[in-house]
Amino acid sequence: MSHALWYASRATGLVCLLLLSASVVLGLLGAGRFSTASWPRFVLGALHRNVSLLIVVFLTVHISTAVIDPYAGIGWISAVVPFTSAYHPLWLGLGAVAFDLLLALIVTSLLRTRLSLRLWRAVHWTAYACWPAALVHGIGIGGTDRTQPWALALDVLAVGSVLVALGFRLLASHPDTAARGAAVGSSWRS
Amino acid sequence: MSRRTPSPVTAPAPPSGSWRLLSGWAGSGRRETYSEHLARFGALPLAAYGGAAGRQRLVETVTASGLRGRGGAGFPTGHKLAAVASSRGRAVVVGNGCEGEPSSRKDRILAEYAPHLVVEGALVAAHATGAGEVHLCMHQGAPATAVLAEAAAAHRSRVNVAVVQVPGGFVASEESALANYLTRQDSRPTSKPPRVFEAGVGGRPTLVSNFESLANLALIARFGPAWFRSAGTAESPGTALITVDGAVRHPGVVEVPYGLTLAEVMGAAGGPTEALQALLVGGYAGHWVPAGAAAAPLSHAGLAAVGAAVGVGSVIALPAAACGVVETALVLRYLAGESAKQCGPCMFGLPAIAADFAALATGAAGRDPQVSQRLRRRLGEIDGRGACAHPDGAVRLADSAMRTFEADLREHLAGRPCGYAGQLPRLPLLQPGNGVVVAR
Amino acid sequence: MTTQGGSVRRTISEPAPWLLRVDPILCRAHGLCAELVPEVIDLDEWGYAKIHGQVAPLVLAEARAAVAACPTLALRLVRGQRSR
Repeated sequence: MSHALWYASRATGLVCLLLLSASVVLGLLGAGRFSTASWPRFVLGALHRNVSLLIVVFLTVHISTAVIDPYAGIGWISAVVPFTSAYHPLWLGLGAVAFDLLLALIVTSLLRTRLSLRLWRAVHWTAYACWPAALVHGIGIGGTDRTQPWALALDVLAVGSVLVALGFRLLASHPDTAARGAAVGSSWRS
Repeated sequence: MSRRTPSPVTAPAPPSGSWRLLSGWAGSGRRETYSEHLARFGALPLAAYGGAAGRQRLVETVTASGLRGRGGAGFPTGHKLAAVASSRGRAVVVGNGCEGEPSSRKDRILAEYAPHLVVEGALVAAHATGAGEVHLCMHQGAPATAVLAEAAAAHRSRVNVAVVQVPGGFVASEESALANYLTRQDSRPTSKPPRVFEAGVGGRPTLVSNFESLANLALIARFGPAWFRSAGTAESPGTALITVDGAVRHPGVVEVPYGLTLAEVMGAAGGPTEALQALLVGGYAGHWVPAGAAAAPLSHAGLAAVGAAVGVGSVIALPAAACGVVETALVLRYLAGESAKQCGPCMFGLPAIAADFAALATGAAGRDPQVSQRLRRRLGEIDGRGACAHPDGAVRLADSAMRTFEADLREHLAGRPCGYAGQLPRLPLLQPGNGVVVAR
Repeated sequence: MTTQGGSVRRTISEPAPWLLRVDPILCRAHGLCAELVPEVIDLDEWGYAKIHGQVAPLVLAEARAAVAACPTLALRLVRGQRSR
């Protein structure tokens, strides 16, 4: 029974990492204004939203199984308050950090039209902290999985796709951004 | 030695004839001192409008006078006062003397030669709206700023009157841009809603009124709506300060009653020096009209009937020996450069139509038959789609140019430009953003 | 519909229409809105949103989706003036 819970937690954890990486990739593509004829902007945008919400499902299983499993002795509180567990406090704590940030990202995004754009954007920038925290949490707490080829391959896939998407985002340009950027330096302020 | 019976104290008579705002200058040949100003016009009778009922009566007096804004839109000032007075929050009065429009000089003339009327008008507006602070705005480097500041210091009032220097720029004097600058030192227009009368400086109801409108308030408060209406027309009462420029004998600012024809207004500036082909009425964001329209009365209704508008109150005479297409192309390029670059249709659309017009002016359009059509389509696309009316002004100018210079345009399109493209332009131009260069 | 003879007179007036408004300063020409509700929103030659017409009841859901999907929250759904 304990093994089943433990395997469930590991598996759903990996799925969460992949989904989160996919979400980050989709977000970067949107910010870089990526689209094709078969993948218009609103489809990629909806995909980004739905993948992010799907993470919550798997994350619930991932956290619950880890807490219920008596082997590690993790309390519910440690899932939310970082670095409070006796079991691998640093690696688990990073997972709690990622979870907290993800909650903030999801809640502010669901309430987006009712919040100020600046608040939503400020919270959304923490995605750049959420993803690395989740990644390092997974690698750090993975233990023996660190040496498994399939686990490493998934990690490489996650990191690789995010880096490629980041490169695309940084290289992308649009006349609107260029025109506004040029205007900022001029004489509108005293 | 005879005993002199004390004569009853009488208030000075209101200005008669067409000199009203500039009657001080007309009478003394220079700017009058504060005591001369009081001797000429009498004291400002704000005490007669005390209390809430008095303030209401003041607003009604202004509405009854029919005063329309002199900043370009021609909106009834009484309605503006009422709107600000009835909005929630402590009101703010902003006097707009920036005059970013290169073709207009009337506001700086007013600040230079009748500063006390401007200050008093702002105090009247503050009283009517319950405002506690007044900001009189002029562009940085305007010479009359010191004069206005000195005049403001002479008036005793519980209202705080400050003279503010605003960064240069065509759109920096738009009402929401002024409110934005006074709130967060950013002189760019903001989106509407909210309009400034609801939420302007610091989110409070703000009255933004042109210097000339304020100066008229100072006189209406003294002499009443009936006197105000004794000059001008029924729908455009009062006098107007008009900047007359171009091919006229004595270019400058004249004060004339609304209702005089454009020809008569040019006559007040010495009349044309040569045969004219067209007039630019209402500024760079105004309308071209053919010279034949000079018989139209200068009033809101009179100009609307010939497809123009009063705008900032300037009339520029374009001689026959010039090219309206070239002049328009230069102004459009200037207007494109003055975009605040906040809204797509303006920051991309204005340079696009300026380029189209330049192609028409140089005759290069002859090789591109789509230019006219594309220009027409773009004018329709850009109009009304900015956060402020800057793109609308450029569209107005281009549209009226295409109608007024139709024959000329046909020649240009046929590859036969008139050849004036190489000469110095006849319209005064500014370098975008900074400094003044008058090209003649 | 009006009835003769002094009894109830009722005029059926159109309900206040829904309108989409775009804030021109916030619009950055992303174009998701034109993908979602092309019945109301077009893009000009530079990619910025252009509203043409009202939001018909049939596309109200798409209009709401467009408001939520805009990356810069430049769209608003408002009620227009009731017409008689």
